[in-house]
Amino acid sequence: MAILFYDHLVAKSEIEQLLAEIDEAENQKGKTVQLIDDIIFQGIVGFILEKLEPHHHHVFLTIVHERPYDPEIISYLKLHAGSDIEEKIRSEADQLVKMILRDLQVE
Amino acid sequence: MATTNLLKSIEKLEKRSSTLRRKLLRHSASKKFFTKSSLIAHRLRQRSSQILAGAGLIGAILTMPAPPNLSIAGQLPDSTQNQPIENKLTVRQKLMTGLQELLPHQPTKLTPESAEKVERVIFENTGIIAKAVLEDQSLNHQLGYIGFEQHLFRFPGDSLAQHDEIQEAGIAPGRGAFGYFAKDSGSFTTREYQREKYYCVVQTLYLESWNRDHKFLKDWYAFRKMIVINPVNGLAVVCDIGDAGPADWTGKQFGGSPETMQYLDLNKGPRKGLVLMLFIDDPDNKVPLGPIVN
Repeated sequence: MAILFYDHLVAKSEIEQLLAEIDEAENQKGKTVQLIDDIIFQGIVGFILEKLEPHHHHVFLTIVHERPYDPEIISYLKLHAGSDIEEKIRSEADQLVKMILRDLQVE
Repeated sequence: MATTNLLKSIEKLEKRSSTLRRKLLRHSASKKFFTKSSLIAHRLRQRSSQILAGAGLIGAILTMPAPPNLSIAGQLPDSTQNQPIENKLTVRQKLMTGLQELLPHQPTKLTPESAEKVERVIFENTGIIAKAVLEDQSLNHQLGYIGFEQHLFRFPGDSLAQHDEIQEAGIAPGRGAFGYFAKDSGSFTTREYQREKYYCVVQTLYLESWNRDHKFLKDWYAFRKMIVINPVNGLAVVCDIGDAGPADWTGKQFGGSPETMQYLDLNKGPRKGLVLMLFIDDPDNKVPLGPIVN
């Protein structure tokens, strides 16, 4: 699967392992994977927008729209949202993954 | 592991997704993008796949390390209210004010004394080690007129249509003086993509020792990293040498790719302007190509 600019900052192995153990139809699993992907995307993009000054929002979203894979997005964020933005995204992604795991582990 | 009821989980995940989406839409710029169906993760992944596959980049992107730290970014001062005005100026403003009084407004080979002053201004404001003379090599001009160049073929079989920006610039009929950026489309990575995007042209052909040491010099100058600064507006780009020229009769000493010229704000009118062009001493390849922002 092609990458998005933040993929290297998201540790999804626990989610993948949990989904692999679930005995459900593949289409349901596929829907879940897509939903999780969207949650992480919306969560991370929302987090970045909070960190960026509003006048940078349009440029950031435009680049994500046009070149979602581009490592330069991270460079752009380092300049405009702080040089430690990668660590912050990683930590936000960890929180999102924990929430998703809670949602998946329904009794 | 707890028993999993996937349908219930999906319900919860959908609620979470809606909450995050509502939160995103509080930002006015995101309304435009997130009300379009295209800005959702799996569509972006598909789009990514298509673009990268088109450029033969998937393998390179997947195996490349995380982007290097921008040395420039790390050294910028924080803009807090307690700092003196000088520290609140942008890099661009500092380059303008620092360089304008040092540089004659005509093509020039800098004296060692002027070069040292210029190099210091650049280092203090960008963190980049710029050099008029590097490893005993120097250009005939460090200050000269730069002209708008066409795109270059990046690999055999490349075409103008595969360049994603400023296609109206056209593409040069032959290869650059240093050959293709990649030997074939399969080995064309983001590095080569950036090299063509931010290439510059210098007059290696007029170097005094060119005819004598042509072989060594060609290797030394090929894709050598340079800093190009427009002293009039302080805009600066890190480029690599992708071609040799221009001819003396043009009245220009340097050339710049369409993207470089656009960033320097020299892409309108005569599409020419006086710029500072220095080598970058970057043996560990830490300085990324492209505009120096902020």
